[in-house]
Amino acid sequence: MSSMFPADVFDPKRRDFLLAGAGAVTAMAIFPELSVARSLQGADTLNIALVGCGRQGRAIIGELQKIENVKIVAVCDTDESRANGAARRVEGAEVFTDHKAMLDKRKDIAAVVVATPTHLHRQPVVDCLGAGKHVYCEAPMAHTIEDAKAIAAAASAAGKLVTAIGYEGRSNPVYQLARTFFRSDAVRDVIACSAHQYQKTTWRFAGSDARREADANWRLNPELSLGLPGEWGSHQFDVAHWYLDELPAVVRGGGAVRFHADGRTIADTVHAELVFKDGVRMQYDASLCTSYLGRAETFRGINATIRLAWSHGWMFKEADAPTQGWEVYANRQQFHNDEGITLIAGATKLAEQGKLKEGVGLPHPSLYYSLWDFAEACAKGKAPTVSAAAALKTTAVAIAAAEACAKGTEIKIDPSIAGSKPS
Amino acid sequence: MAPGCQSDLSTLPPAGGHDAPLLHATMAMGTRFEIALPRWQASQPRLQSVAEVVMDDIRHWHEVLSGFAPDSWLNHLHRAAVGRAGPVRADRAVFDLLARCEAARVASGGCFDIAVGHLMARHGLRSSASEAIADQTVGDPPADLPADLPRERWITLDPDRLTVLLAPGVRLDFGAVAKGFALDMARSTLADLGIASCLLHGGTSSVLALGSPTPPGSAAPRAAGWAVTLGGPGGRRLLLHNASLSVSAPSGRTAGSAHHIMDPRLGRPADRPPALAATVADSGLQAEIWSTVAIVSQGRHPATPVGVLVAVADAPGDSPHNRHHPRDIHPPPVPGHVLRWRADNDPLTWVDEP
Repeated sequence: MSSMFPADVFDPKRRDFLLAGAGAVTAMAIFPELSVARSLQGADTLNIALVGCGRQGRAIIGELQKIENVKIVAVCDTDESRANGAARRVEGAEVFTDHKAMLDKRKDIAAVVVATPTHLHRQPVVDCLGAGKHVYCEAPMAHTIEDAKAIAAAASAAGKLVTAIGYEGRSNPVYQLARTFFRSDAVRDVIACSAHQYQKTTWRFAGSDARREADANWRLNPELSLGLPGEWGSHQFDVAHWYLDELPAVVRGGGAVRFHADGRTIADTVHAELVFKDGVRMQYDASLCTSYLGRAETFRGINATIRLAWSHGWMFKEADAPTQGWEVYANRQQFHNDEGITLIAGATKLAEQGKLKEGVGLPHPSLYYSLWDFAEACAKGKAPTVSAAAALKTTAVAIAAAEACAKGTEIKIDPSIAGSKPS
Repeated sequence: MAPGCQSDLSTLPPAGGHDAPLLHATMAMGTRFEIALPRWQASQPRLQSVAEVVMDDIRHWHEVLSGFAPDSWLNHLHRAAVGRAGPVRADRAVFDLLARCEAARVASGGCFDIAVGHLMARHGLRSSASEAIADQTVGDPPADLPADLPRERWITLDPDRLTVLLAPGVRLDFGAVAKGFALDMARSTLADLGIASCLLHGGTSSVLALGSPTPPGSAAPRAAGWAVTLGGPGGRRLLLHNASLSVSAPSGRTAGSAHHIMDPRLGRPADRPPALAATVADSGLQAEIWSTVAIVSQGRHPATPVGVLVAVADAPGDSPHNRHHPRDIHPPPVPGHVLRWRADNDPLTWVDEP
């Protein structure tokens, strides 16, 4: 064998990976497409209504406004001042305080985005699907398994109507790109995974009067809220389900009020362990008492570790992992003693042009891609990225995690869910 | 960023005391925003949640207006211009901000212009790592802004559709006004939440002062307003009451010999800028606009609106003064309150006189 060629060039497995790598490079070169806001070319204008005009509703309006063929025609909130506030931000949106009245009056609505508090998802989702509207529902889908099943059943009964659930990781281009590496030999056998989210906040929202304040602070009510494992953790659990292509069988957890001793009973700091088959475990930590490290998910394999941080992603290779062809273009960032290869859509092109200085984030917030996927599914009759059936499983895991953390115990996931595929 | 002012919290009860104001801070717009909320207004949990809501608002506007964040609305607008993708829809508040900036451009004779992002890039003032990253997501630096394209056609605002269209090659920079605008938005939120007293500042150069540190009716000396000191210790002391303060200085961000405050009329950094310009106005946006104008015009702009008070310091360490009214001015009323500059007193004070 000629010494001019590295031995692994002649290794069929290696060649296969190079081909896979070439595919990955293609996937990385999607930046120009991502950069410009997408439009639903060839589609009629999609009339959308927003139900729930709180802070997440504000973010949703901002991202929907970027999608060319989408028009927000109505906004609805039981709090009229909040609905009026949302309507002021959009040209031509009609205000409602009752979603049923909105559905009765505005027959031109094609799709509805439901961004009410989690415990108030069920009724508008079921009613909107019943009225023949496509629905995007924020995640987690519900705070009880009964509500989650009711939403999944309504989605199933709605036939070809799109019911999408807002687990944004699956629409996030960085996460999609990283998954192509994760599913290849670049990472190989998964050893363990972890996720954390830290943000220093009371999670308490001021309202203009006592009733509004009580309504706004549903997250602190254990009867209505899944707490950190549900409101935050379920998004990260869903990423793990999607990457590992399986659901955990068992979840253990614990939590406490470590700092915000303001009479709340819901934990401000939690930890959980999700146990998958073959012993792979996901460690989860979240806290409202510190912000250091923010949010990230980590997947460790024997060849590399992938770290995802919402708008950014990196791969940390083991020294003995095979060198891959595309690495010539790779941008790297130093993290103390470790060097991460940035997983960037379009990195190859930028690197060739000598423009890549360090990690480039997404050109839009993750929410944008999730809403765009929904709009495209509605316009083109495609399946949603995250169906209600898939979200039911993640929601079930989140409910179990919330219970485990609240009770400091171990919960077995319903075998009918644990034994199934995540999507 | 040069230090703008120092909130004189030494006049307040000591931190940690039961009547010390609640303090809360966040990082946004490349600086630290801090709010002080006197405790006589509400319970600790409510004040804490008010502070968090306000800071959440400020971070939101950062995410919309930042030239540093690739995923900001501003860079979405820039990408649309580069890609000739047509008009971009705007949040009504942002649309109004742009409309007010355009009006201020006309009123200031071009001394203030929001469309200076491409000028800053040309002078190497968009070279930080995060800006370079954001620019990568926007596309190649614009070179196709026709020299003969009238300024009126650089930004097209459609009030019926709430859309914005930039001419290819034009880039906006909200750096001069974003903090003041965010303070105005925060003021609205604070009013909704029934908060009448707070000091909120962004990086000490943009300040919103509501009420005073003491409860209404108090006879304490600090009942007249919030004390801030221009330029830090030893500088002029101001009392602010229901007013916004903006301090601009060319000494903050530089690239070689170029400072960051553009003279849009010349297409380059302002010539012979004063060391510092401070303005007090009813709105944070107005204060920011006219402090920038004061730097560009060396404090000599004749058309400063009623109710906007301007002082400049020619050299570091100088006391800020007003070139047009070296002794005393009594501007006519502005809605809601009268601001009076008492130049005969030392220190200068602006006080609210309803």
